[in-house]
Amino acid sequence: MSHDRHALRRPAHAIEAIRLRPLLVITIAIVGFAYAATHGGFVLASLWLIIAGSLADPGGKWRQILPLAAGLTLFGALVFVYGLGVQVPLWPF
Amino acid sequence: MTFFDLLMLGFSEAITPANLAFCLLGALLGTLIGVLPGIGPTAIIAVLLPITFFLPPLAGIIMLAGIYYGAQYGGSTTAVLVNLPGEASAVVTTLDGYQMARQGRAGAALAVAALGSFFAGTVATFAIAIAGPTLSTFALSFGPAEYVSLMVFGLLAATILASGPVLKAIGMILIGLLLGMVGTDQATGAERLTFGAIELFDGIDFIVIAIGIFGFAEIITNLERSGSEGVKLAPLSRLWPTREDFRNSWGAVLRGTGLGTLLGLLPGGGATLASFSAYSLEKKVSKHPERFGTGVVEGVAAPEAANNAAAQSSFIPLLTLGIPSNNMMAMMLSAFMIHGITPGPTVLTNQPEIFWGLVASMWIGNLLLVVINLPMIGLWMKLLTVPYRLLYPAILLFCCIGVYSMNNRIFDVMLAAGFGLLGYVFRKAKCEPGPLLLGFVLGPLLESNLRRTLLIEQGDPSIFIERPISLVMLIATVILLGLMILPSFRKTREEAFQEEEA
Repeated sequence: MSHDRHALRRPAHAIEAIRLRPLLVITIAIVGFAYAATHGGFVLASLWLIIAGSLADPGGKWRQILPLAAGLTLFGALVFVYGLGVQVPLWPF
Repeated sequence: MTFFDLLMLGFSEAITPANLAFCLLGALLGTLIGVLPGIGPTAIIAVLLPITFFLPPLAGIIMLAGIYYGAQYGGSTTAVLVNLPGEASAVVTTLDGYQMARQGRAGAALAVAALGSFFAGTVATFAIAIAGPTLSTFALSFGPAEYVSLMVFGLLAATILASGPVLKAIGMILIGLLLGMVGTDQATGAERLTFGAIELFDGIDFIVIAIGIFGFAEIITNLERSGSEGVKLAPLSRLWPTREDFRNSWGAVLRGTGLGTLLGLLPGGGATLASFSAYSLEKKVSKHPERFGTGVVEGVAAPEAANNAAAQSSFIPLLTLGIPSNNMMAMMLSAFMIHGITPGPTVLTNQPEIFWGLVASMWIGNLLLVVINLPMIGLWMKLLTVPYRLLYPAILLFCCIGVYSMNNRIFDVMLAAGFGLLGYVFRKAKCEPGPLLLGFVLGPLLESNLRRTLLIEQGDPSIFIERPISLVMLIATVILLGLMILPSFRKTREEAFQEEEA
């Protein structure tokens, strides 16, 4: 059997289809967050991350995304910046 | 101090209000992520690792441990009620658990799973308490040569027990070792693989890699599956199992616990491997193997007991030898390191409160989990109806803050985004990234021990075969390698994992 002789070979598997939308949107959202956090402060960075990141899912609705972004930003600011003392400015000024 | 005194010391540590609160928090978070499909304990622990830096060492470790074994409880809930494994280790539970639910015995399945897990957790806690001191006295006789051989053996064994092709797993380990070399060489001060970037002089942070490969990449792949809607679930029936359920399941729980505790000890072992093996063992010893898959209670009891036992016993190699056996334990190792504690035999003698506090907290955590899971099951099920599209932005934010807060610099966030892309490529190529994390964590340890050995022996490598423990490890490594190349062994190994992929 040829299978046994090639002990380290195996049949090829096709790579699953790649969907660019989540891949690109999430990556751009994270990179944008990194820049915004140092130049624009935590609030802008977090809003950007959540609003931009939400676009990765085609089913998103604005009336869900906006309150979610506001709520998570408030939570993040209270818990991480005030509570745990992460060194990041809150506002750009 | 006697065994009893030490255990009391542990309980007195674990029962302080702060530690108890973190134990509860870990158990709650673990159940939560266990219930929610698409969010695994690896990703969540990666997110929470930077936060433990702000906590006292024991509290942070208690919480992270609680998340790991708590996820084993939560995973079964989703498996039984909606036929979706909340956790990789709950995949086999769906086979019989969901069938039981369809017959209106969901409550019985959940109760057997929770009580079986509690029993297994109790046994595994005792196993740690007994094995810890015994193994660590043994480990004290280890020199650098023994550690090198042990790590080589561990890394290779981890590839065999991981699912998927061995060659890919070895590739992942090698990439992990390579990533571990980035930074300034400790002995000579030479820069390695830094490409002149100042940010890389201290090496890459574990959290950057963990969040990139497990956090970001997991979000991207989950979104691809477009399963972002919540799920519909079956109504929940009466909770208590019948007398017959109990009679049928106690043997399975005992076997699952035993097997799980043993498999958790192996490198690369852990909850997932244990639950699959326990299910097939149960099928083999059963008088009516043909009924498995139609809703037999043993098919729920054994894997659930086994995954919980293994989740806990996999702490043994980490706590006694200081060597993580799977990617979860690699996370735990870095949680210790954040606080400047190197797990291993010396922790038991110098900081007994850490080891015994953790052991005691595990038992308390298991007790809390039974309470969290059984009476509060309705609440967890409501969470399942929350769509993923509302959850992932929160995870994304916590990941980003977590990476940023390590060194307060954007470079780490960018690097993590890069590792996210890399992790995505690995997933597409069907490369399980767990061994990469193991290689990354063990790489620097392996290197420094290898150097130390060769320095002591003035460059003569024969010490590796002259020391008996080291020789045994190396022979075991060679046997493993030989087995992997044998076609018949490869075939059985592939068959063993076939069920997992189905």
